[in-house]
Amino acid sequence: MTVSTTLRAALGLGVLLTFASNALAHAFLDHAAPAVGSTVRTAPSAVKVWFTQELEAAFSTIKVIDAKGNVVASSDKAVDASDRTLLRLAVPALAPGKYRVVWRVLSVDSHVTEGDFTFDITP
Amino acid sequence: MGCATPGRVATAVCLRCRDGCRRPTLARDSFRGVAGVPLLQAVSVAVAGEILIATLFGQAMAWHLGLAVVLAVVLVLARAVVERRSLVRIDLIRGAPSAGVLATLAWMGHAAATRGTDRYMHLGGDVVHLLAAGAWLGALPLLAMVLVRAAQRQSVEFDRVALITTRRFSGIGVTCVGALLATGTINAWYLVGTPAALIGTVYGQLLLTKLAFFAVMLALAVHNRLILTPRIQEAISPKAEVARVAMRRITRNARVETTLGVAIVVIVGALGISVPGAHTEISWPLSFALDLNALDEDHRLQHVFSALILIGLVAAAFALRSFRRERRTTGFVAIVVATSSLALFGYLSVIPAHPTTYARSPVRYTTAAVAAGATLYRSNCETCHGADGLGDGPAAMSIPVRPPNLTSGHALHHLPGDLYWQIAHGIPGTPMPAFEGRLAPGEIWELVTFLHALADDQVARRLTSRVSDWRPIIAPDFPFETAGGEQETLEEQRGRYAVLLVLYAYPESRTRLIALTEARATLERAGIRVIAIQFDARPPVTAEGIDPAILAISDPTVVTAYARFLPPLSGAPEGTQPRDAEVFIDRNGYIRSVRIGPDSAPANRVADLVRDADQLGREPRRPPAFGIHMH
Repeated sequence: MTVSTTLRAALGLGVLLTFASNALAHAFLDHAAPAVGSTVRTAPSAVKVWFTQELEAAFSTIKVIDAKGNVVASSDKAVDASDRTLLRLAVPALAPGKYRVVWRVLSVDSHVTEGDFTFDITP
Repeated sequence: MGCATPGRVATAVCLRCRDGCRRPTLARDSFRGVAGVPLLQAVSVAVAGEILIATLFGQAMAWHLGLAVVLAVVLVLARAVVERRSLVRIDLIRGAPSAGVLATLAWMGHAAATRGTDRYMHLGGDVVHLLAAGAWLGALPLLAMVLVRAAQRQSVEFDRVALITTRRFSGIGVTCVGALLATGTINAWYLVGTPAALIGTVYGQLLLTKLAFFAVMLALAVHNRLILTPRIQEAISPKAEVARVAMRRITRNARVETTLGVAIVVIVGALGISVPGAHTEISWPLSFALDLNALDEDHRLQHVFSALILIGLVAAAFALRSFRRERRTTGFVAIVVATSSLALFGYLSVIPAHPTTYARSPVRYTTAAVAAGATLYRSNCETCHGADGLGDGPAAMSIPVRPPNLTSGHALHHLPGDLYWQIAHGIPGTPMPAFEGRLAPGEIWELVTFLHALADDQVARRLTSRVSDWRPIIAPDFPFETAGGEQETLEEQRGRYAVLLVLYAYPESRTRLIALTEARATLERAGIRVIAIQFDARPPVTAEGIDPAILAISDPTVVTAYARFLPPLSGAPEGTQPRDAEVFIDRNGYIRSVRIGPDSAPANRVADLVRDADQLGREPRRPPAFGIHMH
């Protein structure tokens, strides 16, 4: 094999290997307020969800659904400016009942995770 | 880039949710891709643009590809200008974009997600790691090519060039290897974290394979440097044949190293798409493990272990030295000493281990978990193990092997994962049955959590109404709401306030609550926050003279969990709940004092609390109660 063929082969391999890196680490739910599965007496003014990794604001969404399935609040610009592990969603005055929070986030190292949890408001 | 990665399966992952909910919240890998739209829609300028501009890894990728284009242009043009410019500048012009292409990979990897100040350390280490690997793996094929040419031509001129190249490559090799080892250790610290994760996760096992290949490469490089290169040096002198053989060996080694290097890059690709060992479940693959926990208790054992390891290492080094000096007998003796020393260390520290031994509990130490665990314990375990875990249950007498004291030091040595396995699969050879058919995994973890509380109960019996020596009694977490406020948790107070948890009944504790209201400012100055919860978990009372800010409401499990830590009421029938109790929790989340019963001199109590808080402030720093990094 001549030197130039070797070099070309190496270059080709190098280009191929450039795309080998596609990192994945997940942003999991760390804790939330109202707490996951908990019952609160006063309706919260905002739903806050903290994650284990920093999030990309452009592709992270959160919404709150009531017991009947109506979306009471949602946002795709919910990543807090000062703490990028926090998704903060302001909610209107919520009536007592069971609510479901559905989130879908993109962590800074390019992986998507989604999930949901519920909380109860009882007077 | 907004497209689905082929072959990825949607998996449901049980979250390490900090709130310890019984139904795990599911996080699913989304194979609809980053943008959340179907594949055809995703391949559009708008989505691609947003990813490239608005996300960190998108920006890194843009730089990466841009610099690759620059590099390609430079490589093509460099040949044309080589006659007119100095070689050093050519190297810089070619080297800079290629270094950039490598370095931008760091921002597309796991290092970009590290938080805080560690981020710069991790990213910096990653960049150096990439550059060192690139330099070494890039130079190896060139070395091989020069040597092959020299062997083909067989002239003194080419031999001299080959020798110079080999020597210069050695210099690069040593620097790169040193950098790789140092930065690799830093990265492993962040991404693997513990030795258990190194062996028990896919990521860790891939890393071990990579290290094995690297070790072989290193051995070959050392052989080249220390043994073969000096032989080539004699090429110009009479021993030409020896030199020629050495050169052939170096060539072969360089080729093998290149192959191993490519294999390592493939493994790195696999590592890049795996979840880092520090952030995933550890499933221990061996049936035994080294128990170094025993070192915490027994200091003599610590000295014995250190001595054994030291003897082993010294003997091994001595053996190496003896063999190099052709002293076979001393070498063999040293090897025997080294092996027996390390074997003894292994024998003393080995314990049986199970797949879940190093698993982290998905259930946090909360009052809800302790209460759920208590209910499960009553219906499943109390008959044999007894109400307090001392092994004195009603059925204990009739079984052949007496149940152990679950609250003793020996039982506590077991890691939570070990306890999980023993409950789920029983203990062979003993009457302990397997519960995995009867209890869900979450329930077994709640039992393990309860066992922790059970053991703490015994220690808590020594608590008094004043703060004394520190004991690791962790205060179980719980959420609460104050009047008109948002929901908070006990854990959020950690690092900010010491907490005085007051359990009260109304109207019996009225005077107490008024006294606390009056003392609130003093207590706050001492860094103590008062949280008062009713024994029957009713909403806070509204009464004159009582500050609503100290009243809170929570769920009934708070009372059931904390009542366990209270001393028994003297002179009252067993099981009577005191009407007034206080638990003092320090800023790190540990329970330091408990007090029950009516207070004869409330003002004294406040002064005592302030003095205690002051004393706590002068204590040495302790690890915070929930210091485990959980996912």
